[in-house]
Amino acid sequence: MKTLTKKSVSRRNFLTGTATIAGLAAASSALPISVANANHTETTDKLPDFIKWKKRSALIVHSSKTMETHRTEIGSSLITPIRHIYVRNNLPSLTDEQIGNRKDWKVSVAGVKNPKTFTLAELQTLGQTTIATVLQCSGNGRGWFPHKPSGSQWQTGAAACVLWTGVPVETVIKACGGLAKGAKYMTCTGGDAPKNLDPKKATMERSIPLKAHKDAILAWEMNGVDIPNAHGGPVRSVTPGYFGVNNVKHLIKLDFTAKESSVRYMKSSYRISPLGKKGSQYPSCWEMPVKSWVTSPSQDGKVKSGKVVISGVAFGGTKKLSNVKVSLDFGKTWKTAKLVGPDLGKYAWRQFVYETTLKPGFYNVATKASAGGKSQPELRMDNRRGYAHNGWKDHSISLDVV
Amino acid sequence: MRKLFFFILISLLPSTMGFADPAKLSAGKEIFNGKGMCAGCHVLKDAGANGNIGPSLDQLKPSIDVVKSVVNGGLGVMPAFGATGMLTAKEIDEVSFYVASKAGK
Repeated sequence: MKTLTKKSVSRRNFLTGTATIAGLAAASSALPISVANANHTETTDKLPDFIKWKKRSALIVHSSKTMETHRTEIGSSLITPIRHIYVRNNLPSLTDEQIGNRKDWKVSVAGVKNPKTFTLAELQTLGQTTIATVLQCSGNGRGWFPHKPSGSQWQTGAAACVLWTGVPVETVIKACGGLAKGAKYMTCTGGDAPKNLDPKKATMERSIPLKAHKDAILAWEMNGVDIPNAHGGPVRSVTPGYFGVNNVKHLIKLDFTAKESSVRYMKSSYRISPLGKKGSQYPSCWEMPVKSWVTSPSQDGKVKSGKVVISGVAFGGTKKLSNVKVSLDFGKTWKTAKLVGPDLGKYAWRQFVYETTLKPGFYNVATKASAGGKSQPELRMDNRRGYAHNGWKDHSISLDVV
Repeated sequence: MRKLFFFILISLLPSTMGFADPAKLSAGKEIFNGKGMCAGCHVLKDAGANGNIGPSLDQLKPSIDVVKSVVNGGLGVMPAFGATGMLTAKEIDEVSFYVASKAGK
């Protein structure tokens, strides 16, 4: 097994998830030479101006507007360095000129007894808290779906663990005299719709079940700095445990509504539908399922035999993480990993470590996390747009131990 | 395994190989800058397009199949030009041919 080349190893990994020649052909054409083999870091593509402050070498560039963090660049300090955090914006980020004075940024609040509009400066006088959450794109892991879904072919890196500071949504509701009657959803609207496009199609507006407002905040700070424009500053809604898209950037309105928003981003986009089907009758990308992956060592090099430390990240979405298991034999046997480092609450990810001794050879390293009585499935749940992948097999890595 | 890989390679050839067709390219360019309104949202040097809403096509360098599928069915804020009848199948074929031929060049 040692003689396998890197290329054949990654193809082999890929094969394990696909049963037919047709499936393989589809997968090969979708993928990915650019994802499976290339080291994007070495391309000459420069980062565009709106994120030129990011660390180019930490990112895999999928397009001029989408970048993910390399597996190993998640680091092992729990919180993801902001220069490494992935970039995925449905709409062009607002510029400093469009935003103007950040303290004067306005957020209107509706669906409450006394609707009001607050400036950022006013929101900052209402209250303050800090939370840690996993921010993850709904399509993280799309690169492994064999049916070639459109969109960025993310692997593991459209995810980050972030510290947010802001005012609890509960506090804002209280400042407005409480919820109005009939509220079933928390609906957030972004101010980044380009003016020349149809608002129904280009407004980022997301509704999530009302219960999710309890732990949500309106944030202005991210990992110690004002939320950069590319990540949705001056104010962003942070909805812990819910996929990234629900954390609305450039927030201009917080509403409590009886119905889900009717904009395209709510009604038809981000629906987890069977292959070949679409529509608002299918579940929206809301709560994230339990998930884990290895961040170190890298599968791109050889690992020295002897003592090896395997580490990674795991989280339970809206549920507290119970445990992480590691398999070195394609999922035949599993051993429990240690959870290490600070526990920043159920919405953050935990770091796990598995220390072992490895003889020379080829190993498949898979990880399986459990939370709220559910474990990661072996395979992905196939769906049209390639959302919510948490199957452990595709996320496993190959280690060439010498 | 090798045979299988070869088979896949062969099966991909028709979609990846494009032959120069000046009339089709020029028709595609016209749709790109005109009826398709692609230039409003995308960067494509060949068309002189500097739109900032969607990704730069010069950087993305999409295959003709990807362009066709996205122009037909839409993606995110991008309209479904085929499904809604904004472009005909022939026009989508032409504009996709043009984009796949010129992106990144």
